[in-house]
Amino acid sequence: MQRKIVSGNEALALGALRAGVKVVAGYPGTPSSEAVAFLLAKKPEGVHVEWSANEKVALEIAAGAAWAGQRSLTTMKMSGLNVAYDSLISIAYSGVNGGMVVYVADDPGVSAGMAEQDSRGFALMADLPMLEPATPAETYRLSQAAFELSQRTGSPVFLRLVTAVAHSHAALEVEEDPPPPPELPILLERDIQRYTKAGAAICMAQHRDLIARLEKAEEVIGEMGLNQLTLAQEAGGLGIIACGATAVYLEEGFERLAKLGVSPESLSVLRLSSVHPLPRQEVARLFAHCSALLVLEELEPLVERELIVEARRLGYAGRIVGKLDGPFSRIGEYGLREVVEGVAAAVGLSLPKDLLRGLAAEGQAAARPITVCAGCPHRGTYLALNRAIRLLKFKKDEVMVTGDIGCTILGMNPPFHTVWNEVSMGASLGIAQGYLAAGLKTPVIATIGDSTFFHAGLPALINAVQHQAPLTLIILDNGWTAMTGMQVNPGTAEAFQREGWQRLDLAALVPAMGVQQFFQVDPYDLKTTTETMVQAIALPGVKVILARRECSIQSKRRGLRFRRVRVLEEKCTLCKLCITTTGCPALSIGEKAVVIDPAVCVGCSLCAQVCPAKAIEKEEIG
Amino acid sequence: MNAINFLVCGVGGQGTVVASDILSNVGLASGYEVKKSDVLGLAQRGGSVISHIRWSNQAVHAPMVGLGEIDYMLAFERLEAVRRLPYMKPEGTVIVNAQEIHPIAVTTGQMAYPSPSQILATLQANVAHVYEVNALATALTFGSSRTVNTVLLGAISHFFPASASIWEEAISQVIRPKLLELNIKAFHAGRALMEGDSQ
Repeated sequence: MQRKIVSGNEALALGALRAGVKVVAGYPGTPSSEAVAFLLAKKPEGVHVEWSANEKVALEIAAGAAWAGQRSLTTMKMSGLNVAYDSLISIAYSGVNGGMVVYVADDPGVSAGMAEQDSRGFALMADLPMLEPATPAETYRLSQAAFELSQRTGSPVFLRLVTAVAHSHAALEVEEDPPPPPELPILLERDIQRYTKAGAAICMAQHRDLIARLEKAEEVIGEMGLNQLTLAQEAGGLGIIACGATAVYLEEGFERLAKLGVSPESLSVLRLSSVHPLPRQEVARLFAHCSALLVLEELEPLVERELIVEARRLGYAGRIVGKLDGPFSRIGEYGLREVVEGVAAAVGLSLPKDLLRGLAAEGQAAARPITVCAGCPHRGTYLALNRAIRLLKFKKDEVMVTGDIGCTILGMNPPFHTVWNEVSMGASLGIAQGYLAAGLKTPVIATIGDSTFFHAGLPALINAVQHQAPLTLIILDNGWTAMTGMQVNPGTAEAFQREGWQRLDLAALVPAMGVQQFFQVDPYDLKTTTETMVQAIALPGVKVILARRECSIQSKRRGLRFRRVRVLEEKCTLCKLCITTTGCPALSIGEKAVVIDPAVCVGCSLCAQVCPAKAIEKEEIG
Repeated sequence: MNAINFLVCGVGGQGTVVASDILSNVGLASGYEVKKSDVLGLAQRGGSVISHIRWSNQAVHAPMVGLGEIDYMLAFERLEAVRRLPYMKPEGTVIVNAQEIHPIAVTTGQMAYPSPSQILATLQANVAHVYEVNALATALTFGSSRTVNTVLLGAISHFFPASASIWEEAISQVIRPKLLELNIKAFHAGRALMEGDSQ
């Protein structure tokens, strides 16, 4: 064991290794990505680790491995669980042989721009156990416990982390290089009753098994002591149920509460690590001991509702304070302030108005909308698309441009204002077809990144081809799954695929899908890209433009520069058009002329291509 | 709990996460319990980025710190210092890099960027100890804007008893060997920037 600073995601990965995981498959998604990224970089002996094409495939790989008797882990963000869920429900019915853990990361407070989905609801619906740690140390422990629970019950087990745990770092004792997973026989079990859904009798028998496994899980969780109950010496006080990440703020809150006259010794606390199933024995003991209960849980009042049901069942009459009856919001994450205010509300204490509200400083500062990086090829694509729309004599608010997930969505932001909407992976294509079906006569354009297209765009394009929906699809192919931190995807260049893997080339794949009007452009070439778009948009039928150029973060990391670009001070009129049109972070206004920061510029030369005074000179390198 | 709470803030791409990793390692090497949390958002795309770091003689529970609870702010950019002011304790310390990275609303002329003196006045009106350092200029004397983060770490190191060798060791745990020497130099240059100031 070694003491080192690790993140929640790393702790989860290290815990899985220690538990003997043999197969790990995930799809990148903030805040879950670092678990698989860490393992891919570590290359643990005897462990298969991969980024899969999407979360459904990843989960199926984990399930297949677990059916074959091996331990497996699948990782995803909450949006990905929606994609994988179809298979998970079915796999839950069959159960597993080797331990299988499903890591899902939720994002209360939305650090990464998606719905505040509470994935605990999925555990309830699937009748699968779900564990939730409060700290990286607990993540390390529960990651191992989840495998044991799965193995002992034959059920896949959810491990849920929120951003505040996944992205927090703490010093803890970890085994950095546990031994490789044990050599277990590969199970080949032919059992139609268990592994198919052929008929009502089979499905209902599996449903019975599923429920029995969940009941067993409650028992095993009790034996493993995963939830910690501390009863106050004196009965009749407040009981607090702290779910997952909220427990740390409660620990911090004790000191504040003591200062406000609420003795921590007067409080009973159930630290809940098993979100589902609810540990009913501990809950019954809280009911017997406390006059009122406070539920600390971010997002939906799930535990609160279950407590109300238990209270009704057991005849508990005390108040249950939370979101349905109490001060808490279903929106955003909790912190120290929320916890202290919650306890105060439950014990009837009024707090100073400014408590934990921070300086009333003029914190207003101009917003910093995220934008595409210096040299980002998407900049060229969106500039060209805006120009093409203008050249076709349409106004911007007449042409629907649907957006998709990943860096490409930055086309919604200034200075482009090109993209109109963002739904889910691959949805740009379906939504576009909906506008066409609705009867829109002006051009409809869908935009999508390469990884997103592989993930969920393929079926939607097939649909467009079959129905000959006259849309223009622009695939912004930068060769990487970039937004989540540069993961390799099926289209990433051969040089970066592992030995023995095969790259899929979109330039070959898309025409093979029946797309007859296929174009490829280099988004660093504004003129040709614009002309191609004008031509394609005006054509009937399904048109696909592959805008291909590697992500500039990646090319820059390898020291690639494309051109030397330089401002000719005597020609620059300081009209700022290069800045307002491209929004490139390498450009700023100097005293006499626009200045290009050589540390940031990669030489895409888009600024030179938009300069009306020809004041930016470009020089080809090599 | 006697935690020392830090907030590192800046703009995506400035190297704030590396700085917060080093700051965590220094805490650990100084014998503290340490927690850290990076609120990245969409970090590499020029957005606002913050990290919370906490050192304490006792167990540290929460990885993040609420408003009004920060002792030391290390701001990589002027406007970001102002944005994160509500996190500061009035008796706290702000070290702000004199660098400006203009948001697009400013470069496109829809909004003005406050003047250096306005920003300094706002900081000083709210927080007891404010130090402005020109980390970019210092970093550029080494030929690379990439060392702004280690220059700023040098500046904040002035406030703690940890020896320079503890900081150097912490830097070497995070920075690639190829860039280590440059960053150690940058650290010392940053440390020297503060030598004229008393605490």
